[in-house]
Amino acid sequence: MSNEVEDAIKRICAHKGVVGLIVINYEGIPIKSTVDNALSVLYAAQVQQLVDKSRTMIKELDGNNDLSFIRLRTKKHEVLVAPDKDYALIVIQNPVETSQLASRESRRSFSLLRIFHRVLQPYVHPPRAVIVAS
Amino acid sequence: MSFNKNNPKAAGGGSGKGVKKRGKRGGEEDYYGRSNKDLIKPHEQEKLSEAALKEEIIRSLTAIDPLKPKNLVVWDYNESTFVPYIQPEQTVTLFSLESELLFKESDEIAAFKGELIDDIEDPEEDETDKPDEKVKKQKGGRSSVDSKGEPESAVKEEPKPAEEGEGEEQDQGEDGESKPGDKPKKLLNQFNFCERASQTYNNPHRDKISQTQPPPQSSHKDYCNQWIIYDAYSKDKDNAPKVSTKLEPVEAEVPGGDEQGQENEEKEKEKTKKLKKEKEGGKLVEKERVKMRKPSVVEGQAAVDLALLKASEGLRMIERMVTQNVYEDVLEDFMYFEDASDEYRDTGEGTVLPLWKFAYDKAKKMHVTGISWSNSTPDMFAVSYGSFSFVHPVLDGMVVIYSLRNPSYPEQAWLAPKGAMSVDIHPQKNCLVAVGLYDGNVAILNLKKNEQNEAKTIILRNIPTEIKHRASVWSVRWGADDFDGNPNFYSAGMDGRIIHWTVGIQDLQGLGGLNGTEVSTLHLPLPPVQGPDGTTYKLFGCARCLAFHPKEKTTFLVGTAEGNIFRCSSLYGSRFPQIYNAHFLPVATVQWNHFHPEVFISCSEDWTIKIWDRRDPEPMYVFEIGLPILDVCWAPYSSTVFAGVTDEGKVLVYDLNINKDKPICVQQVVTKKKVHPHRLSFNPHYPIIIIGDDRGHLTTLKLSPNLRILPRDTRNIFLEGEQKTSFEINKMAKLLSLVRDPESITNPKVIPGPGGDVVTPSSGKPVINHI
Repeated sequence: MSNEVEDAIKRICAHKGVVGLIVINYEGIPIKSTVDNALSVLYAAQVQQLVDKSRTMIKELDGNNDLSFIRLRTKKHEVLVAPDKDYALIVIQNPVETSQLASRESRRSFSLLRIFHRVLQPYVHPPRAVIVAS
Repeated sequence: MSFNKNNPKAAGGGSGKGVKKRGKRGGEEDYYGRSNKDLIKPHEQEKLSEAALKEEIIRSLTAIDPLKPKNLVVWDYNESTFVPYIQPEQTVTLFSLESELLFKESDEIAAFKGELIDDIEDPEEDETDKPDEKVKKQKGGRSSVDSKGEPESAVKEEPKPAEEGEGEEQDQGEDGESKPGDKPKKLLNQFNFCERASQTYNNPHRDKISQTQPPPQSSHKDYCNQWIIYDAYSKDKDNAPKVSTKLEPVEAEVPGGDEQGQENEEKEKEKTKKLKKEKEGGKLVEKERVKMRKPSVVEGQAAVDLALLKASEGLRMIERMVTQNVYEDVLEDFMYFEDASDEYRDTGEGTVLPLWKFAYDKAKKMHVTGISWSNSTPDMFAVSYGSFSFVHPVLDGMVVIYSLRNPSYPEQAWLAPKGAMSVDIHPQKNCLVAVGLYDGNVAILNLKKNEQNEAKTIILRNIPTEIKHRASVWSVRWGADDFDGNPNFYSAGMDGRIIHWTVGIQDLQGLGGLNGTEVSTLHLPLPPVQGPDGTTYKLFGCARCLAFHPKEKTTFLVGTAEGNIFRCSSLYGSRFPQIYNAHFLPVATVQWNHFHPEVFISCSEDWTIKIWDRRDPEPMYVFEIGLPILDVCWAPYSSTVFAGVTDEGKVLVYDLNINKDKPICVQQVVTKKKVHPHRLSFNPHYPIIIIGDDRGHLTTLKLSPNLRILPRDTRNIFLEGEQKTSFEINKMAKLLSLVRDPESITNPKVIPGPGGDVVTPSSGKPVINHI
């Protein structure tokens, strides 16, 4: 297996809130998974149907259109599905964590605080008169 | 029950009713005297045990026609009722035989008496004694029949006397039963019989049921609709194009062969050949089908690998989506957060809000030497990593393509052989990235994937040494495509040369390389220096930055390490329309205003930012910050807004229209001391700036509403297009007129003559007037 793919999978799993990543093939069989077998089989079976159904829906609405991504927000998780012809990728993620909201506040306060902590007032030069070359 | 051949069939004789006993001959020979052993039994014949074979079979003939209807009635029209219909006798004569029997009492019997007795006794002799020819000759017609079969059976009978004996005994036993009724005088009476009927038990019906192992079950669910079926068909069609062409002629000929089939042998041979061919063809078809299927139905680990290999594109997408969730708050801020406190500031000050931070592990220790946003894809930018440090030059460099959609990991990364000093994305063709390297080479990255360029998305051609730069390339900028539509770019190097590179289209396919032509050498406006051996040597300026005029494609500015800014034209290389003595220290950046065609900005580590009118050798505005300014950049949305970064890691944002004296935003953007942000760049579409520091980190900052006040018309609608441009130009012109002598407006300054031999007045030092 190529390192690139392996790295990418590792990277994705290292992201905050990511519970697991499952790669299923076109038959709905999980071929790569970072969660336990039972769960991945469960997800694979359900997602495969969902993908088919969704794709059918999209195709019915517009024959030239195609499905490219599914985000499924649930109470507990967010299920991200990237379907393709030969495979589909599933990521299960816990999207919102309180720590993140805290980080936002700190970021904003960072920006506000800085206004009052100008260490150095830059020298200010008013527009000067142009010196005409003699 | 079926009759065995062992049962000698009584000749059709016997009238109406009769019981056929098994022939007395029985045993080894059949009626015709043939041995049982020779009998050929049909294979489907039921096999019966000895006892079953000997069972009596009763067949009866009746004179009553069972098919004859009874109780027939006919409609009598006279009496209008049904009357029984009396049929005439329906006797059918099945068989008639004149009897040879005589009544005992009759007179004729006496005449036959003697003969009769002989006749009757003869059969007994037949059974008990071995038949010999004499006896048979004495017999009538019947014995003559036997004599014919005799020669065959006689030989075989000899070795089995025992069996014969058994048969005889049995026969005798049977005879014995019928004998008691008879008088010693044997007179075989056909009518003297006893009928024995017995009701056998009917074999009871038995239902025999057995449970077998159930066949394996599996439930299969699938969606099916028209387009899935269509896709499957078209896939199948695509898979077997050869097969159909092969088969068609064969199939077409075969029916013809069928018609002529029985004409002669040759044709039949041909036909068989064809059939063979067809079969082979069929095999081929199957083989091919198997082959066709194989790639998609590869088994085991290989399949997994194959599928995963394909998954890289999907992984990229899903990574973006995951990061979108992770950085959801940042994303929301990027889109929607506007600093509400801006409204309450009288001075028109604003803030910058830090958004994403980009860091790539492999580029940790390197300096960000260049940032270039893509013009057409607003979320994409390229970063070059190298080193500004003279003492600790980083030998290897990197060019990394990032997208705002995935702040955690770069879209692409190219490990440069030397430190990359500058980068520029082609304004129209996103996939082309020009890179200037520390060793004087330039490279082009082709980010698009194609057949020749699958994994390596890089095209780097080493240029002949006489053309390439002899020192590091500090700046690369794309120019407008030439008349052939070939992309081309300019590079400025420390060796004081500006080189124009043309990229042939076919070169991009991986064949040729770059064609470089020197545009100009930046000779300093100084008298030639005397060399040690008496030769004179013209000093040149080390180019540090390059800026192309947004409208006039041939005009560009070059800032040098000596502090000069050269205004050059690509049309004539050796002469310069203007040389500005701009700074004491190396010019860090020079950039044309996005709206006003005459205005450009420059900054330097000599603590100053200067705004210039190109017609004027002296700067219009000078901002002395008190700290080395490492980069400065005009905002793409306003002619009067620019931002700069200081050595200490502060961002300064000026809007001259609001405040000519003070920056409207000063903010620390790097948290650590000793980290110097070297590069700053405005996104061409969004109100964000990006700052790259010498730890390889990139910070994106969102400008608060006060920093990006856009012009509105009287109806409070944002100006667009031409209107906006003219508004911005006017705004800038007004500012310039404030600082310009009325005289200079009416009577434009005498521009010093072209060439490097002009020295600008008063030693070119910008005089700072403090009011």
